[in-house]
Amino acid sequence: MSAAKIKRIKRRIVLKATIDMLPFSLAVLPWGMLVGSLAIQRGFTPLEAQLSSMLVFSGAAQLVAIELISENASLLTLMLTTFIISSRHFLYGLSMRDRLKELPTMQRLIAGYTLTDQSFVLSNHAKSYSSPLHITYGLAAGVSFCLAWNLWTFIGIIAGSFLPDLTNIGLDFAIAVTFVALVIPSITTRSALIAVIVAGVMSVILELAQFNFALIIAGLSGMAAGYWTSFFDREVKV
Amino acid sequence: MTILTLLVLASITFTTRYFFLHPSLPLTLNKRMQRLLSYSAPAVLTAIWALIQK
Repeated sequence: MSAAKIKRIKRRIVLKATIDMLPFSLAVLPWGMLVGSLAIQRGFTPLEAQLSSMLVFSGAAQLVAIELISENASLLTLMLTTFIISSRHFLYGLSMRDRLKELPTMQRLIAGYTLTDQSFVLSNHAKSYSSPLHITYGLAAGVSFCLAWNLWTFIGIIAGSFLPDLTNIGLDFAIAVTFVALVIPSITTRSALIAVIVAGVMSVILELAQFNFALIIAGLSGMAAGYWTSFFDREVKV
Repeated sequence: MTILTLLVLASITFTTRYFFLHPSLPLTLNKRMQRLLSYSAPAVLTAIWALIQK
């Protein structure tokens, strides 16, 4: 195959990956805008707001971190909270390990950086990363999602700078939608249901009690409750 | 200061993502740990959601 032809095929694959990722990329538009505009409202400079999406690149972690930073929380609180929120990625990495560990360093780093809930769902396919073309596809999907996330953040920063009340127009419905899309389908066992209920109830109780590590304790309680009850699991129909 | 904090947080999110993609590993996850982590996404996302709704 000629070099020009390979290049053409690669370009088509990048385009296809971007299009396949588009439903996810568009779904996080309100999230990205919320993160951008909230950061501005909480006193971040536009550069800091954009850097949070470029560097941290995790909607849930960014949203919580923005609130914590604006409340002058300690660095330790921030680090622990971010670690707990991000801990699910360990599992994604583990299940992708056999397909990604042999990649050249640069590609492996990009695959790691762009490993999100969304790219994990898209790459949850037997053939993903199984050939050079599939690798191009997987990396392009991840990078396109990252670019979209940063574009939505940028729009949020611009809008938040000019419309100070943007966070009141209900962009946080995106969080409820994400919750429904990511969490509800995963409640297929009794233990998952218990994990979700314990985490939700604990977070409200601890927050009302003005407990410092509400989110961490609530998340860990939910995980522990799910883990212990998983030994008594039977499949449930939802 | 905020940028330094963001760099620290970014190193945490990147580490959780990249850790198991690295060819040589300092440690592995046993089945129990994997089972515990499988509840991480629903539990943590629910806790965040509940905090925002309250």
